[in-house]
Amino acid sequence: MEPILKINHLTKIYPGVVALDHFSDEFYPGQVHAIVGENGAGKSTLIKMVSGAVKPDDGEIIVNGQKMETGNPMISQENGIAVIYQDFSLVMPMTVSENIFLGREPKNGIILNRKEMNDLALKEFKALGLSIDPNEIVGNLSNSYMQLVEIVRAISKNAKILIMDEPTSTLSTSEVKLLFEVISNLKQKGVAIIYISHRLDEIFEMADRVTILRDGQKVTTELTSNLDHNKLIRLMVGRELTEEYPQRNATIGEEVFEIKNLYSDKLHNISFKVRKGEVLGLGGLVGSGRSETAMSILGYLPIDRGQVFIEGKEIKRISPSEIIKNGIGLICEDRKRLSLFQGSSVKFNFSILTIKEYCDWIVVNKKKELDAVNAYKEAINIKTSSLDEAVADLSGGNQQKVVISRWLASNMKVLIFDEPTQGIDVGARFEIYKIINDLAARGMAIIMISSDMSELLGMSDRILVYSEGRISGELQKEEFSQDLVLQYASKAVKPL
Amino acid sequence: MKIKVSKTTGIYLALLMLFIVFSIASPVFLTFDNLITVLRQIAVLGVCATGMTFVAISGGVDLSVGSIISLVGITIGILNNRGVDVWVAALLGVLLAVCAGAFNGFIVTRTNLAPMIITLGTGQILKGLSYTLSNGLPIGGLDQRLGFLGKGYVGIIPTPVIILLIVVAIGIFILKFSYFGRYFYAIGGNNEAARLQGIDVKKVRLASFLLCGFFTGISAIVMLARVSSAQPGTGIGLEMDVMTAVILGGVSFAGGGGSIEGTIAGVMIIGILNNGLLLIGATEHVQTMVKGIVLVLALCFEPVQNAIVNHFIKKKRMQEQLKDAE
Repeated sequence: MEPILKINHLTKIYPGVVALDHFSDEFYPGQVHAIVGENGAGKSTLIKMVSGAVKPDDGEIIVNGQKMETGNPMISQENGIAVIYQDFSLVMPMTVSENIFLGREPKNGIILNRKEMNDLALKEFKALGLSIDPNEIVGNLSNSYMQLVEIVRAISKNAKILIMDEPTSTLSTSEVKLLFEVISNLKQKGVAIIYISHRLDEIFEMADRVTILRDGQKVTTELTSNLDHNKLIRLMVGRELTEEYPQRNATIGEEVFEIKNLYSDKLHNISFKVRKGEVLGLGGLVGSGRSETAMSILGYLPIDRGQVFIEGKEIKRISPSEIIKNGIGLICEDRKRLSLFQGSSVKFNFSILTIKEYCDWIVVNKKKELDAVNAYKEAINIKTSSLDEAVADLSGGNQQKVVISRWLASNMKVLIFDEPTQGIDVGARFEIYKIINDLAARGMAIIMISSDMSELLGMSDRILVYSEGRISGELQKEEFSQDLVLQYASKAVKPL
Repeated sequence: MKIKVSKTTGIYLALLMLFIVFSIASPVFLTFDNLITVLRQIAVLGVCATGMTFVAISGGVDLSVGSIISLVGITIGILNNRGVDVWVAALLGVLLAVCAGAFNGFIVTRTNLAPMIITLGTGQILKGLSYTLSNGLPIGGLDQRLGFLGKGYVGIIPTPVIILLIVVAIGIFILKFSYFGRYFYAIGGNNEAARLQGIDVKKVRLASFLLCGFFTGISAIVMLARVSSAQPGTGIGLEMDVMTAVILGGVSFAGGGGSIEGTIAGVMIIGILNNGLLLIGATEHVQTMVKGIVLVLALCFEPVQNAIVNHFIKKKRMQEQLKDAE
């Protein structure tokens, strides 16, 4: 059989990181081809290049034996490539058929032929074994039906290669079954499906072939029938972790922080405790609820119910100002959006949290403030030409250090680091690990959210793994292994 | 390479240029008496704009200040005519203005709607209220003692100028020297980040509207004292001059930047334009037009400046790349 899509040596380099490294693969009509890998393995970069959203630095994409121009979404569409994204590109107040035929409505002269349009839509539905009313307003449909409308729209535009990115993440069990039936029908029609999912069970159920990506490189492509769960996880993990982490001399003391039965729309019954001097790692996939937990603890995201305790005392009013007053701080993942005041100076960004401590009465004592900034600038080696420089002009690592210094000065009892070294070069990384160790040695309780497996295993004293808004496993130091973390992270908590 | 031109640099340059132009164009402009007149004329605007600066730095806007000025004047007029001591009435007037600010701030922080829309509405309410209370007629017969605040002198300096100086000093103290001044910049610069650093953003936003109300109340008294009769239409449209001044002064209404000094420079530009154009015989309508032109120019200043800076950065980078290629 001839492959419908052939990829040769596709490469994408971002500053400081090779997102995809000479990736080659073949995709066949009528097959479901799964792509798996950890966070940052290169899955989304691959999709974006195939769909034309991102231009590759090297390599070629061949559709039906013809080389396709890259980096142009229109060309990719014309070649029959369609991506079904999670955030739907549907017009909510319009009907199902209007959405499907948007921009290419059947017309009599200049008048819309609604009957023909609805008939055409119905025909498409029937072919896939669906029953949807073409006159229904899309906004009234459930998530799963919106997704199906997107699929039908792509198919009606003659899509031959359908890319699905985590299509089941928001679906219920019965909806997943319906989607799988549709996928089976698509297979029979000869559509090639590129299926991305972290739910390994689904991959064994649906996929004909699996390509495993790791750190931007293809590990292998296997027929699903030649694989089992353990083998697949081993292939995803693969490498030995050799990175060195600085020595920590912290003694783990009594419990200082606890959350109990935290529920929200993204979280289900989250409970854990942290001790003084302990680094608790939170592992799992992006979107599995780790950052949401941190933001909910702070009172930044609303919770349905749950309790937060500091030193055995319950904090009754959960709001950012109240939680921070009680000595719990969060260093956010999204530095630009949630931590930094981009237009303001390094000094302003440092002292905004602790400004009251540099005051005589209500007047800021500029000397005290300057001494504090300088002390931390020296201590953690922030590189800036001047303290009055806008923080936006600093490098990522130095921006992160400014944010960290802000919290260091505030004497928290518990500090949550969300992806502390994301987008930061190796040298600065090591310095941040040392800061975390210092804080733990001083008796602070640290919660570290990390998608970097090596960092998670190397820095944590204990790891909680999240999956789909729940804690799916807890690992003590002696049981740490990549396999276990991945197994818990890809555990389908909601029954399939 | 770093080319740094502060946003406010342009304003001070513009101010200087206007000064020079009018000094040449009119022999009267650069006299002590005329300059004191300019200062006296900008006092009301300056006091009110100081209040607006707090709201604008926090990322908001208050379109109701003009209506607040009218309502405060009318209220003081009515109270004074009914036998309330004029100083007590003035105090109650300021209190009313603070309440109006609190009302704006309360709705803004409760609903998270755009302050522009809300204060557009509350401004209409207050405007209607002034006309209703006064039946649309001016209220005269005010206690003459109040006139000191608008027409009096301390030595050779007019009282309104003294009041402006005090208000500016308070404004600068809060924004530049007190710790909570930082919070206005923080919520204007990045509201979400401010929340996550434990700043009670609602309280700070409310405070910005309270301060705006307070200073607007003071400016209303100066205004009333100057014209000696309360008119329901006094403050109508003043919010536009106030906003022009604040924008000229370097506050982007997206929040985060700006200063009282900048705002006062903006106020002085408006004052000098009004005065200078009058001296060279331009009509009120021409004045309006010129103020509009100056505002648009000020707004264009930043994008144009950025474009120029970017152009140089790009050129430099290309040169470096060429060097690397060699």
